[in-house]
Amino acid sequence: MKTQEQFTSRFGLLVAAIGMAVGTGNIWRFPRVAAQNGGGEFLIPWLVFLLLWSIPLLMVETAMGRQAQKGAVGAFGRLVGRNASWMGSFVGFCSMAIMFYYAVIAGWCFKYLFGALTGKVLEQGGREFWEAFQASPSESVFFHLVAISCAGAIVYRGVAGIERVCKVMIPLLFLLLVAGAVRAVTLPGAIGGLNFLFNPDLSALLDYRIWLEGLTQSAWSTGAGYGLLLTYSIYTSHRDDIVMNSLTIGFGNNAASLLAGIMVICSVFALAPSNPGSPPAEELLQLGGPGNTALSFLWIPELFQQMPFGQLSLVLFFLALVVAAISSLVAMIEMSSRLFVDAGLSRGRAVLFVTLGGFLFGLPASLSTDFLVNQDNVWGIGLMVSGFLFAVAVNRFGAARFRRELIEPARNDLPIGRWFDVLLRWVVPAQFLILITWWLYQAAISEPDWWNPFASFSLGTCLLQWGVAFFIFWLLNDRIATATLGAETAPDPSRGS
Amino acid sequence: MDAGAIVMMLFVLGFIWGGFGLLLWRSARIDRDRGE
Repeated sequence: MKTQEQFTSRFGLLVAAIGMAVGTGNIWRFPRVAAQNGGGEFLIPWLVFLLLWSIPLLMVETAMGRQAQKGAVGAFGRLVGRNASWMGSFVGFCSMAIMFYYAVIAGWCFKYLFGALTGKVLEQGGREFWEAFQASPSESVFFHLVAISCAGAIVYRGVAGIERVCKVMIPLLFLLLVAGAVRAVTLPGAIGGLNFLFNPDLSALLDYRIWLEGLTQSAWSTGAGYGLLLTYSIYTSHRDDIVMNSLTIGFGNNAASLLAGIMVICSVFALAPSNPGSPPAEELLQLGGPGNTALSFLWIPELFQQMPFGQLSLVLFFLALVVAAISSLVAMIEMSSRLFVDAGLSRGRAVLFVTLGGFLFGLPASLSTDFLVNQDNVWGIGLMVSGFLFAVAVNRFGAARFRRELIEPARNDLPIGRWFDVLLRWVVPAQFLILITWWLYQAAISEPDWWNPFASFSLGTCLLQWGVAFFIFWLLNDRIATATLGAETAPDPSRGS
Repeated sequence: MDAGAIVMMLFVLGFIWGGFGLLLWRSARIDRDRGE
């Protein structure tokens, strides 16, 4: 993406940004996380955090990117001073760590697209196709390489390509999700799925895990706290709307998630009973392990088999999913490359370096689903820490000042009021502090393995990996700041507003 | 289907899809009025 390039219209920016947000987070992650957390009750924190966490942070990211005209490290440095560069480094690294395993999941989408084209997915069925794929590590590595290379090549070519592809494929993905959801709810037995997804057991809301997963899913899927929208915002005009665009991205993302949830969960309820030896649908959905990790990949082919023009629809679906996954991966590579460009590397070298690094560091996740699940847990929840760091930066700058100087000068189509100050000053930090304290307390009293750094879902594994990242970036703060900001010493809030 | 599930489904779908549709419609209208 060359610096002089910009999105050509609001629609172009919106489809690219929705393309960034809509991806495997909606189709792979949402159905399985919602299923594992009880369905109906999960929707409550997921909706609450969309409004109180993700959308305000999307606004903050947009404003910070425009003001700084730099990636996450430079944006934190310019907003609150070079001493805060370590915060931007953590945000950037968290997204990079997600990128490493995200490329593996994007590779799965490619594999299924090829399988749909050759007819093998429908011939073998979702489960058998998945098991054969998992039994072949070289295939998993190959498709991981295909995914990250495609995304790297697109980033190298620039913003125009992203915008053009997304303008066609994102609406197509929405159309196919609507068709899939309609077909799924009309299958016999699908009502059980709707009951599961929309019937909340309110007593389950007393479990911290649902709230933690609700916030993580909202951030993971909308892109809040990744620094991705911050990077894209460098390529928008200073006058472009911030408030309504952030709302549209957040609502559009959740709209896609709901369709995917209905499609997958109703398919499981309708089709699982016909599989010999399969446990009841509800039990199947709440199982852990690879069966849950691959939930969507197992059941979507089964659903499309029930549709007219099943193979064609499946090909189109996985084509659109590949585009959605790649558009998210593109945003992650762009974000990571930008950090190295800001530090003085040429753009071509930065993209090559990040793409190669993404392939190498993604290898463990492509060879082990357990490792992938661990990374998804650690860095997915890490987004909560990243979001908190954004709130800390805004508060050090002054929440009201941030609104007045960085958001209000844009040509916003919806007004922004003092509610923004209250959200950033109190609500976002309170959500983080309450959840982290609740998690620490519950883990210490009820999870005997909580300290174990090698357990996939333990508190210990998160604290250890975050701690190492924090320590390294804190230690290297001055060097990173000098590389990114040069001799700049004071925050420069006047830039760009 | 349970009554509770129907109410929740209508609320969630109406809120998210209604909100998304309204935001898209308003963006398109504003852009058209500005001639963009």
